[in-house]
Amino acid sequence: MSSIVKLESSDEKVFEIEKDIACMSVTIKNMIEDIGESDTPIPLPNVTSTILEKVLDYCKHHHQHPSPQADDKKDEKRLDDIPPYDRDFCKVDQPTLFELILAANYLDIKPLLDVTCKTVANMIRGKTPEEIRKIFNIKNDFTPEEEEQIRKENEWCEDKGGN
Amino acid sequence: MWNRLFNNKKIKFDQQELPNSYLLKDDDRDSDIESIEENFKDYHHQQHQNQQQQQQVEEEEEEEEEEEDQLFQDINNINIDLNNICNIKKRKKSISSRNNHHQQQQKYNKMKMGYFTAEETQEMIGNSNNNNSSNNNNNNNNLTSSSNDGDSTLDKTLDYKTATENLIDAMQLSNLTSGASSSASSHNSPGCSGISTSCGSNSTGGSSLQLINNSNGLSDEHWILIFHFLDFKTLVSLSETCHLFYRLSNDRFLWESLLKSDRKKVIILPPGTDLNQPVAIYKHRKDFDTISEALSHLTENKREIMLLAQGVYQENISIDKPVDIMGEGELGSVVIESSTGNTVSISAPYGSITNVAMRQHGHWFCIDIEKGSFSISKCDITNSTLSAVKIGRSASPWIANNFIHDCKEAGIAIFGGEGTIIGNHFTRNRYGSIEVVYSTSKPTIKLNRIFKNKGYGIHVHTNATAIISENIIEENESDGISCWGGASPVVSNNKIYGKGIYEYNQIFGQKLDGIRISKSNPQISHNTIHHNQGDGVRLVIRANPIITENHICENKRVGIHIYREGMGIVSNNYIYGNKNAGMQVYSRANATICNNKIVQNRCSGIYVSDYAIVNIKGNEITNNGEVGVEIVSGAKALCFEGNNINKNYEGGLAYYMDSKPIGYELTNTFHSNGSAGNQQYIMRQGREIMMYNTKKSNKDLEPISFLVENALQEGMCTLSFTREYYHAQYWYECRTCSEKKYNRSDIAVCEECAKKCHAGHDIGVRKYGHFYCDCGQQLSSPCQCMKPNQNSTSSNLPKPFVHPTHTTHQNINQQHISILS
Repeated sequence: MSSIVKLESSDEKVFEIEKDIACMSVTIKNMIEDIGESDTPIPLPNVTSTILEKVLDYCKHHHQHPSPQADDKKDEKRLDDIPPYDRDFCKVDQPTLFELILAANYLDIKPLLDVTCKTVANMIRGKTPEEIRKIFNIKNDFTPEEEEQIRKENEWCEDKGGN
Repeated sequence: MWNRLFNNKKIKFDQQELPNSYLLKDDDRDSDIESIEENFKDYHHQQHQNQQQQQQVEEEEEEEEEEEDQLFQDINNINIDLNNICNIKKRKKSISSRNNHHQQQQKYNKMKMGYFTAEETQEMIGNSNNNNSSNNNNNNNNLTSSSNDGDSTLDKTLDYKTATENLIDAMQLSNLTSGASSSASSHNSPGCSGISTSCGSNSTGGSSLQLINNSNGLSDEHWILIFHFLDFKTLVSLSETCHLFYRLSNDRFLWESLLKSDRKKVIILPPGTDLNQPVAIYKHRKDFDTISEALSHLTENKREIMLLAQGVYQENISIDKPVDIMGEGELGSVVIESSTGNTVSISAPYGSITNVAMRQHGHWFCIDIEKGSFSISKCDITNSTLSAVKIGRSASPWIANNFIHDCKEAGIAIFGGEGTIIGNHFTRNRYGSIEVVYSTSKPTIKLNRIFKNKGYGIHVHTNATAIISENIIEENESDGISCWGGASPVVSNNKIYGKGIYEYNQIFGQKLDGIRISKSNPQISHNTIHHNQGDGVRLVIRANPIITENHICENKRVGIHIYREGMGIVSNNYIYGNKNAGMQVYSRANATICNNKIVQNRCSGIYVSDYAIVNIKGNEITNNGEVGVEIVSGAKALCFEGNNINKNYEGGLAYYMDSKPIGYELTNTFHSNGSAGNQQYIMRQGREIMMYNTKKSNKDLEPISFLVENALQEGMCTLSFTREYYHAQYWYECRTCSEKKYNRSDIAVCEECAKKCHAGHDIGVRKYGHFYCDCGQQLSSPCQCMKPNQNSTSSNLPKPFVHPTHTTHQNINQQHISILS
């Protein structure tokens, strides 16, 4: 039976969670190891309560349903290997997704970071520059000359078929 | 003067060897030489120390260990060399340093518990180039509030004080930074601006603000993480969206990993491709599965670059077009091997192979260079059946910084052809390191390290020429440099035998002789030849070298050993501390010995016997263990003058009636010779007249030495008359004693000892040669034949000699006729 740890989000909400689950975050694991267990909540000033809640949901799910140990040899570039729960988990609006990436990075939860990054990559994959700009709301800040130059630089791409 | 001469020669030679038009890499080669030379200097120092240590600790086990250590060191050295020039290496290095950087950053982040440092935050903010002041305020507020959180936490939870301290510092710093960021961002360079979503152009509301926040929040690192899931087409699309993505999508880390997954094993790149740019490699590459396939797709006269991914290639490749082939990774991770043909055949006019390991297991060469001036560098080459590298008649390759080892025959065999062999390491080759044959051969062999080969160091024969200089040749099982059959190399500062110039070599620690020369007339100068198990320099069978300005010292046997009609001019050498004589000249040899300094050798300074004819002039012969100069009956000094012969232990000059040099008292200086300082000349008793012993001459090459005959007549070990000088006689190899390894070398015994001391031993067949008996030298089982037979009293024979240091010799009264000056 594992003990309970308390986590405090940036907006001062305290979450109680089993230590084992919390320790899926390497950051928290290190903190607990460094400081020892304590009743005082661990402050996570970089994560808001909404995001932290989602992250903990993710951790709980994966703690209960441990995914089969990922094969190291597996092509880590594959984008279509996201398990169904994770796919649903990532069906959130863009800002939330980005916040999840930040939180996953900060809390050092590799599977979550992977899956969120893959989701974003999936949004971009195979898109034209114009479509990408639209997705991320990006303004084209190239001058026409620059644009021409980059197009020239990228001409090689047309020759490389089959990839 | 020698130096200057040699330098001139060298320059000239280099120019001949390296036609500019061929070599894109001339500069490389120059810098190669420099770096090799520097490494070499370091090595010299190190080697000296090693050598000294080795001297002190001569136990076999330790030697073995050292052997391994040194081998390891050598491999390291090679690796270091590789780092210097190999582009691939550089590239890998920078990539790995980048990876390190990544790791470090991550570590750092972890240390700070996930926070970005102040600098990074600033960068983030700067990069996102957020011009919207309200956003900045928002940002500010967020940060401020969170830092307030930090403060309150601090109040509440002292436990976490230390843990959060760094974090708070970071927050406050970033707070300050972001406070100033509205002004800072305005003069951010537009070049690195990124996603800019101005409030006005977007739908208002929290989501827009949040998006902006989030885009601020995602750092370059995050984007890279996302991008590395993408294929190259999407990356190209990304580069066309905006400045930030243009920059990020060109990240070398991304392309490096893309390249890894998308390329095939062999790729061809156009000449001049920047190998430090994965993007460039990715763009311009042509993929192939095998080297042969790639070679067949080379463009004529273009000298393309071929990169080989790590792995083993089982192919016979044939290079007939200019190309630069490079292996990736550490040396040894790219291996080309074959057993069904030459592993690599080269007939291209120019090009290179770098950082590749090449192996051969069938009966073929590993590298066969037919023609052209191909360059092979930083490779690891071995051949379990024949020679590793064959250089054909019209080839003049550049072979530098390679590790050539464990070949069944010679490391490099030069059949005609020229070429430069520089900075290589040769070891454990069965036949030797470099074999030069055919009269058209003319290689330059310099700055190599040739060690622990099972055969010769360098072998030059059949009228070949070579320039052999500044090599370190050590601990080979046979001779360091061996020259046969009319070879004429120039050997300077090395150890070599043959026709040629050997200059500036260091030759030491061979199992046999330092330089061995037969039927050749090399020029040997400025070498240091020391600590060899055999002779320093040995001239046999009509060798006619010029040996000048060498240091020949501390060899196990004779410093310079000339016999079998060997000739030569020996001048201006420093010959000292050899365990036998400084020089020994016999068997109708004919040598001119002048202006040498011959000191502190264990036996005589110069020992001349067996019908040798010598000119000895202007030498300084001092402090030798026996006499300064001994001229045995039958030998002659045509000229014996201007020598300075002092302080030799037994006497200054020893001669027989028929070998007395005319007028020696007047034309030389003698003083303080003899153990008491008063024995300047010794006339030994023996044959009155020089004459050939014809008894067995129909069967033998040469008669048995009369000293041997005397000993046999007395029933004594021949050593007691010949001492440790080589005299013609019959001998046997005692295998029984050799196995016991008294002496680490095989035990050869004289006829008398074979009969007495070694009765019942496995002594094999009778052999004939120049020899002195090993039996009497063994401390563990002293020879029984050293005592003279009391019954025989042939009065006109000289009494056996007793060396003052020989404990096994029976001390009997010597009868020397001394002529005091």
